[in-house]
Amino acid sequence: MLSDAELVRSFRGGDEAALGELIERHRNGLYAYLRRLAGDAARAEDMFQDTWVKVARNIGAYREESKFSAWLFSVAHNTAMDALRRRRPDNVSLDAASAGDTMRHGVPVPFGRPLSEVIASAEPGPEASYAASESRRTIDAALAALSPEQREVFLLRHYSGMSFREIAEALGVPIGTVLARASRAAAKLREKLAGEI
Amino acid sequence: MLLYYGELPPGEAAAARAHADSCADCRRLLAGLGKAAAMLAASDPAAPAGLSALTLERAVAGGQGLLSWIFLDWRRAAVSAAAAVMMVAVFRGAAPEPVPQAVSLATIEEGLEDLEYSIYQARVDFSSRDTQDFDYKYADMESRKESV
Repeated sequence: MLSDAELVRSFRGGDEAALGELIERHRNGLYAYLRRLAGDAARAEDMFQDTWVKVARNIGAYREESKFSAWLFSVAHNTAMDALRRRRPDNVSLDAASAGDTMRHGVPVPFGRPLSEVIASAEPGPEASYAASESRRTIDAALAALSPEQREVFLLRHYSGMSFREIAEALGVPIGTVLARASRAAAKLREKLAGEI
Repeated sequence: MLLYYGELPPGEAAAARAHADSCADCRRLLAGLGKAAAMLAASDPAAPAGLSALTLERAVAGGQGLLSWIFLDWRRAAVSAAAAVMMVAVFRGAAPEPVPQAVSLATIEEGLEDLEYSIYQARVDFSSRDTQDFDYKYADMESRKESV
């Protein structure tokens, strides 16, 4: 099996199938990460596609010294943050109005209320089983207790496999800040999931 | 945190693991992280069918469009770049003042917590260093007294 870096090289050489392989390889992890950040499936799909368009356009900027997944999630994170900043509560009401999102730094926080409640009422169909999951309700409630900054670090570390140092570089904050946020996130999750452990 | 995510060097990891084995708080923290990870994994939504194909189509179209624009028609790119530089030069003086960013209370509180912890650490460091200095000076004075 070719490594990510080899697939990137192939894509740079004009092999579009190599990009398809990269998308497929990182599909579920990236989508799940964006889904947790975005708050709804449609927005997560848009972010997913926008991320890969940016990856294809800026593939020359990727350096093989770093992990492709780290670079990919950095692009995805920036794409998601841009999209969430652009999202205004008065013109995108599906989530913001129904979820009662909290605004921080002008960014709606999709976990202002357990995501499961929002999805359960707004998106029937395949998403319903996802929303109905007890485990999902519990973890969403626990994630909702984190600040956006803590949640950002926790989700990036969980889904991207980036080290804390790589996350610090991607977010442009000192490593100590990232570790402090991660520690607080862990402490809050421990508290919120205490009954589950 | 670093132990759980495997980011400690082997030697430090062994020491941290040994500590965690005997520390109830650390064990609970590690268990909490493990539980959160398991619950995330159990409830992760799968990407919708067809998303990869659609994404590839868009990415290739978007990527190729820009690449061909830049590399195949470099003269147009060069002219545009020059125009962009001129635009920046012309409008630089008229750039609006940066708008102050809103900062959330939580961010301020976290920053204060970090700062307070740093001050606490500095105090501890300073007081211990000061005490050592005092002990050293006191011993020195004692020996000088003896010699006199």
